[in-house]
Amino acid sequence: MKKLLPTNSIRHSGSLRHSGLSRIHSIRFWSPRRLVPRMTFFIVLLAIFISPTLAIDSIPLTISPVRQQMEMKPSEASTGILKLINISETPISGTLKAVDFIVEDNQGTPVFLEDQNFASNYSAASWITLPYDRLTIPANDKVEIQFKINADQKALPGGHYTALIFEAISGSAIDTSQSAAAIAPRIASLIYITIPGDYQEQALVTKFHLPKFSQHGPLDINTTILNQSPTHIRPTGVITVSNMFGDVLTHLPLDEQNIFPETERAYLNTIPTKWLFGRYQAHLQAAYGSQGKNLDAIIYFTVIPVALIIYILIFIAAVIFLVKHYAKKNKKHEQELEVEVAKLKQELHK
Amino acid sequence: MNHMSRKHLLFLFILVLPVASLFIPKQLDSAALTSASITLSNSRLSYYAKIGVGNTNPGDTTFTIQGSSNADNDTNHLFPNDTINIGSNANSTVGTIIDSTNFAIATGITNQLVVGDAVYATQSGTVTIAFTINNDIPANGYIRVSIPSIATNGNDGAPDTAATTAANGWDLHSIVAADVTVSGGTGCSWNATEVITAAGAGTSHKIDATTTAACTAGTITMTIDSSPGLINPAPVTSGHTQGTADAYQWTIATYDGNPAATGKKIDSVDVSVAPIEAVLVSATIDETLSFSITAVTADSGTTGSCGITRTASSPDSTAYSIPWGTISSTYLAATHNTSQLLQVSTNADGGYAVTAIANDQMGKDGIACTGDVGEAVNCIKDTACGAVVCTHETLKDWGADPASYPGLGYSLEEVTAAEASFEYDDTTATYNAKQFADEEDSQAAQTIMTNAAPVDASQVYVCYRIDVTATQPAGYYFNKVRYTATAIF
Repeated sequence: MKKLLPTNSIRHSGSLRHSGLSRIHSIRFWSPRRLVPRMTFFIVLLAIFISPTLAIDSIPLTISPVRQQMEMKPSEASTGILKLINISETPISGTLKAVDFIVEDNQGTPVFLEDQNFASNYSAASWITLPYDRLTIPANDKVEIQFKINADQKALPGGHYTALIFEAISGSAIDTSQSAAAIAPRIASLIYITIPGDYQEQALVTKFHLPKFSQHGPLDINTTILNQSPTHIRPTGVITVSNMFGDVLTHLPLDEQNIFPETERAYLNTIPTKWLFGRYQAHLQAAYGSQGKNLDAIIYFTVIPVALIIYILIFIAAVIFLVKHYAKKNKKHEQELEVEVAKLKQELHK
Repeated sequence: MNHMSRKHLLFLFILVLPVASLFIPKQLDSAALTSASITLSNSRLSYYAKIGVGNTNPGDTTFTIQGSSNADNDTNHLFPNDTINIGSNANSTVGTIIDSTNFAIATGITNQLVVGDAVYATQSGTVTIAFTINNDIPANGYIRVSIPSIATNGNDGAPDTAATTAANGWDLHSIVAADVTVSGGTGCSWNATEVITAAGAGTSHKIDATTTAACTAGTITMTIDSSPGLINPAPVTSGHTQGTADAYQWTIATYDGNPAATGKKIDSVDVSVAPIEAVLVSATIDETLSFSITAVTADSGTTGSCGITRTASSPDSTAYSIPWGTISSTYLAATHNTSQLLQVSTNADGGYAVTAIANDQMGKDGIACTGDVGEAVNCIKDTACGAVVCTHETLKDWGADPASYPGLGYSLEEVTAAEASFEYDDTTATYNAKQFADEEDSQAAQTIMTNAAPVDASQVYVCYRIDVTATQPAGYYFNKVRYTATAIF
């Protein structure tokens, strides 16, 4: 900064004169009066753009659609649209790729099969053709990507699953003088492709549970459904809770959730009623798939508020005891009074 | 004299006749009722088209309509969820308007169609007729409302159409006296049993209501309810422009007696009623997922740093990096911890999940750190958290003695409750932490944020902690942590 202050020396310096900046002479950039503020501004600009770590405060990414579902025949071609939206004031660059995914847990969390040779019946990433694998989303703008899907000629009937993943990449240089963890935000769109054909849809209720005995509600019903079909299913149904007389206590709808092939999905329903008494039945009835299949499960459970009953019995016993105690005490007191009255009468007669 | 007499007589006749007419006026047929209005609660034209060449078999759900010579020659005025009759298949529900000539219904038809079968969707609603009388209606007087009608089939429950509005009108839809109520007017006492007469050829539908007491003033209101309700006409087949109303004339009149017998008209008024096509307002909302990573740069406080007090010497994260800078081997909370804010919004009904995975441990100049290794092979290992080690799946409290368990690890702090997979202070811990899943070591990405329902701006802080020993080889170490936001399957 000190070197810039002797303006005459800079003015006559040949280093800038022969650079691109020398063209600024025509607008009197090097006027001594204007040099200091302009150079200061220039240096600040340089500092911003040459900064080794460009301090971007936020990377906001939006993807749409989040999930898309389509039916295709083997060898059939189709297209899809993916929208990437950048609501920041800075362009966001990154890579785009198609990746197979599966689901392993019972919560439906996709697991992306990156860098793996996935020889699965459910693969579809190789069917996707993207127009480009790198792109920049302008600031406050969106990019629509039309991609092609060519279903494999030997595609097996059932579900095939892939995801399009956009990974934002920092545009700034890496400062190799300081250790760092680079952060790569990614956002994914899931694609479900169903190949029609001769396959059987099959699902089982592998868990339908709540405690056989409880003292009070609310009571959680845990349900797990295993999809044994080669395609995903989305069961719809209801759990009907009724008492020992057959009166319906409540209907609890099953959340509509996709279940990946050969995967379980867990459901949680809650009987909200606090005070229950007796034996109850919970009956799950659900339908799934395109072949009119049903799921059916029944459990029985008993709710007796034992602690409350004990408290009530103790209270009643205490009341009875007190009543008897005071009655006895009163009777004794009456007898004493009668004896006393009798004595007084005798004394009066004397 | 005779000549003069004839002149006088002619003069007298010409003079006297007009003057005499002033004293003996001719009785007027009628005057105009005032403030007359007819309000349709549903002013949408009915839809009427005919089946064109295409699907006609039982079970079919998509149909093509004819493109000319009918009231409706396209599907512009057919909307999703309209109840539609297709030939003899009544009460189907329109599912999708495929294009300008094709539409789909929710459930397949049961009866065979032939080309030219009617396709119609009726539009009905409450009709309110109001007017102010100009002259008294005597006791046992009447009001009559005349409703334009088609010449034939004007009471069959299907919308009517004709070439012109003069020949077209409302279908009476078998309304009865119970569907009509009359009220208002000073002194009126309306009978509840209105007489409803369906139109014949060249006539209108007529609704006659009678009052047992004289009406001397005021506004009278007749209401025709919506069940079943008059059926609005379909567009006229000649000269109709979509978006331009077809105007019809209804007539309201008062009588001193039964108009069907000898009752004389007292007042009357014609009121224009103009049904028009409705406008379908529709919007599509895509399923979207928004994910953002935001830097943390505050120089004070503990919010968003998992209980660590930030100072001016705390590393400022950026959205793309955690720049540790030159790491001291002396652990200090302020300089060895930093964080980022993750935010997710989605309208996906199954919710979302954000997973985290590192490509490897931090290696000197990015070298591969095979398995769980440490400084012996120029890597900053993943922290063990404590005597009982944490892993990428299992958390442990790394708060008691961070310096004794060097390495890199992370924790979470919720802004939005119940979004993080764990929190730094769960079970009264000081700093629950985990290792980042190591892709190089074939570890699976771990869910750090999730919700099984749509969310709006769910936020969780990811807190990073690093510590190295005094013997960690000098150099530049780095790795990459990937956060992936996705909808739940």
